[in-house]
Amino acid sequence: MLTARGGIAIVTGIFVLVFGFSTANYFLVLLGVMLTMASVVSMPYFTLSANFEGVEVTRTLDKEKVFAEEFVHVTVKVTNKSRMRIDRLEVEDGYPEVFTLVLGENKISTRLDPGDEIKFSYILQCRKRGVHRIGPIKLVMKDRMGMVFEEQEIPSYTEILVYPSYKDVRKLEALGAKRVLSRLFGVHRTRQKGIGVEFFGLRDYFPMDDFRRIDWKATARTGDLIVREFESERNIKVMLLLDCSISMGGGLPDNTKLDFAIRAAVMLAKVALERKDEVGLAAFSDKVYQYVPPKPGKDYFYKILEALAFVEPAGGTHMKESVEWVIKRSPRRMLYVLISDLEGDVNDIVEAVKLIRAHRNHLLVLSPFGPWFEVYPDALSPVDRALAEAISEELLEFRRKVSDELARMDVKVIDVGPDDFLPAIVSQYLNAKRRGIALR
Amino acid sequence: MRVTAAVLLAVVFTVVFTSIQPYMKYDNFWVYIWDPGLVGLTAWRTWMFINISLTMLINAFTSLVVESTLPPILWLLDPKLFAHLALAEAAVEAFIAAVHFYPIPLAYIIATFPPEQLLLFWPSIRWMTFSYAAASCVWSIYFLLFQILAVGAIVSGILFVLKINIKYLFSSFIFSLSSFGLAALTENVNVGTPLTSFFLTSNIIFQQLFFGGVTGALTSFLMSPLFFSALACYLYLEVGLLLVYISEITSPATERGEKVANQLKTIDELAAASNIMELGENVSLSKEASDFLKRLVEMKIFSKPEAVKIEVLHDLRRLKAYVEEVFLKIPNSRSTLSARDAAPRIRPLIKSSLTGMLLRVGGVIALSFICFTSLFVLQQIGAPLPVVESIEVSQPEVVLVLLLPIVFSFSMAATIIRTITRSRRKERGEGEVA
Repeated sequence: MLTARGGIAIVTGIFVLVFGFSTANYFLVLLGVMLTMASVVSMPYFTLSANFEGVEVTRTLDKEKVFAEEFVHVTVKVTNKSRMRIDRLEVEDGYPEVFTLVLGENKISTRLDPGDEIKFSYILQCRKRGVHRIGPIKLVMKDRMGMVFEEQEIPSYTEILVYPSYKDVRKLEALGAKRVLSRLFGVHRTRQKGIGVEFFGLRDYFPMDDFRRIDWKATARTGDLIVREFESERNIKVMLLLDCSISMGGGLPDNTKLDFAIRAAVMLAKVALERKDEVGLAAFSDKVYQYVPPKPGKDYFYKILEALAFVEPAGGTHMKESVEWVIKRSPRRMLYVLISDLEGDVNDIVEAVKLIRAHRNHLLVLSPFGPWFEVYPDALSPVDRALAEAISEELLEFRRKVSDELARMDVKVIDVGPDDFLPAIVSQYLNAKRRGIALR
Repeated sequence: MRVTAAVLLAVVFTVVFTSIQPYMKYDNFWVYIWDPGLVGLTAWRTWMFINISLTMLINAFTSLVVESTLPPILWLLDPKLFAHLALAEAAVEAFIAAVHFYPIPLAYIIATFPPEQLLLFWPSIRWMTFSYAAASCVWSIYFLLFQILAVGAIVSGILFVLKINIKYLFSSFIFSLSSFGLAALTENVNVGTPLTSFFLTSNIIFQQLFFGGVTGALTSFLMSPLFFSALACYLYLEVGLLLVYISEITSPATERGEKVANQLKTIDELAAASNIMELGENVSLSKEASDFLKRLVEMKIFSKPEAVKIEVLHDLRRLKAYVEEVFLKIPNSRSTLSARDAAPRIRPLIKSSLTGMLLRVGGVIALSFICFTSLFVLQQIGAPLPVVESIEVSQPEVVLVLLLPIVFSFSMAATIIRTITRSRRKERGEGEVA
């Protein structure tokens, strides 16, 4: 096929030729003939030599599983296995739109003699969780003059699994290492040895507390007697119930209710597994789409991450059926953490909760409140803000009704917005654990 | 290569601009259009034309205003008021005309025509003067365009030799050839006879073929000044495109290496400044760093604005750490990122390019010669006598008889080869699947 350059050359040749005839200028006639011939003379040879089968392109990644917002290094190797020289080869490696090219280039223009091999690489940032495919590879061969070209797309893909973002866990670990969360969340490292139990947190001194447990540094800082509290050796089983119905997809891109729920699930799973609890996961909407039975072990965290990577909002909410399904397959006396926007049928929600309680399980509900995820109030005009507030009121009213129903069953509902700092949610889990509920 | 291109460029300019032998008739003598004084002359004539036009417009407007605002009582006092006003206007215009350039001096006008007759003849003098000014202005601009085209061609050519950019190549080529187009618009510009000779008409070549054989005819063809001129222009394009090819193949590796080095430098700069920026303080960044940070911030447009920058700075720190890890763990990662080793070797590149160019040029010359032997070919294939002996066969347009079939043959051959290759590939693919 002719390139733009080739088209211009042939049109110029014809124009010069015709102009030469009309003005009886035979220099232009001869030049026009030469230009026209030059545009087409190499076409058959080029088409014969444009052998895409002789070009081998392979792609390697430095890792095939990566956290969201992390980076991956892609190397592409191009080899000319044919006996023909390729004068001009352009290789472009495709990547998903949700990835960002941060270093290098994903394309190259080069010349390959027979047997030659070249390599180029680039670094991508994976911005969205899920299974993504890097590819395809587009090859364009041109002749030396750039007048004709052939192109082909090689459907060569490399799958990469992107886990949910690890940034919240990273933040929590960083804050814990800085001892900032010591009084609030118990994520405090101590050099105390020999007691045989894990340090949990600090609290005010109660009469009859062991004097050896007094933390003198904290006491000197606050002026009140403060003791160190140690965690019980007994661990619990936690089941994360993640609502992935279509309503959970509401919210701003990259910060929907589901994104938030997944971040909360990642945080809870990490903290719980670090504390040797058993953690499982069930993602559901009209049925259970992902189920990971509760097990202990730090390595199990990646199993949960893999399940979370595949979660997408779809379907209506059939909470009771899904919970029934999970309960049949899960042990009793667990701590269920339900992360749902509670925008389904009230009766369905209540029945599901009753089912959980009936099997001697405990339940904690984290509910992303829809209007808080939809838009920033600052971005609205006064009229839109009033409308949004009216809708929020209506939803709040509905939410209150659901919360009241659940409160009667001794189930606490915690409303959360996109800016709620996740460690606050983790503290709910740690409180529940401290009270020794859902023991193994 | 650049030297060769520059030499060919000079040859092209010489061929084109010396073959045009333009003469400009001015007051019964000829002026050579490459005369640099033409610029000043054109400017002066343009100014005069504008001046004359404005003068006439202003006068017409003034007379309109005066006639419409005259109080009616004046018409009672002087019945020939209109005539007297017209006379006054003509006198004013003639006076102004005398100040500027008019072909007819004021004294001559006043001496030749009595005032009553002046009014009668003034309109024709006036329009004659105006049309003369307009014509001389247009002609001056027309001839000046040759100089403009020449300057444009030279500047584009020099820019091409320096920057090796295809748009300069084409623009210098087009500027050069446009002179012929401009010359063809009027009869005041002659193009040199060697370029307009009938030397290469088919029947002349036919005679050469008859008497001297193919070798003789080919030698005449190749030795003609017409052929040399056309070949020089064609070779300029061919060598230019070759230079562009070499540049397009070798420069990406250098540019990519520089780009990656700049990106790494930007990441280092931003990572180092990130701690201070997170505290909300302003830091002076280079332009590349600011643009890079802005681009990453815009990617996260749907997050809350105040948090975005902090997040991006965290990302940059992690990116820096990741890049350092990659350089440590993956061998040759620096060179693959910059694709340093992907640049082709120069010697085989130039050798194969020159060989290919010679073959192409040889093929083009051979095919051009064949096009000009249409009559011989028609005879050989046994075309009917009315065709072979027709007048049209002796016209230059007969080159199209073979040009079009040759062009279409090449295109068809390429299409057929492509179709066969694709079907074979498809069969092989289906066979593998089976």
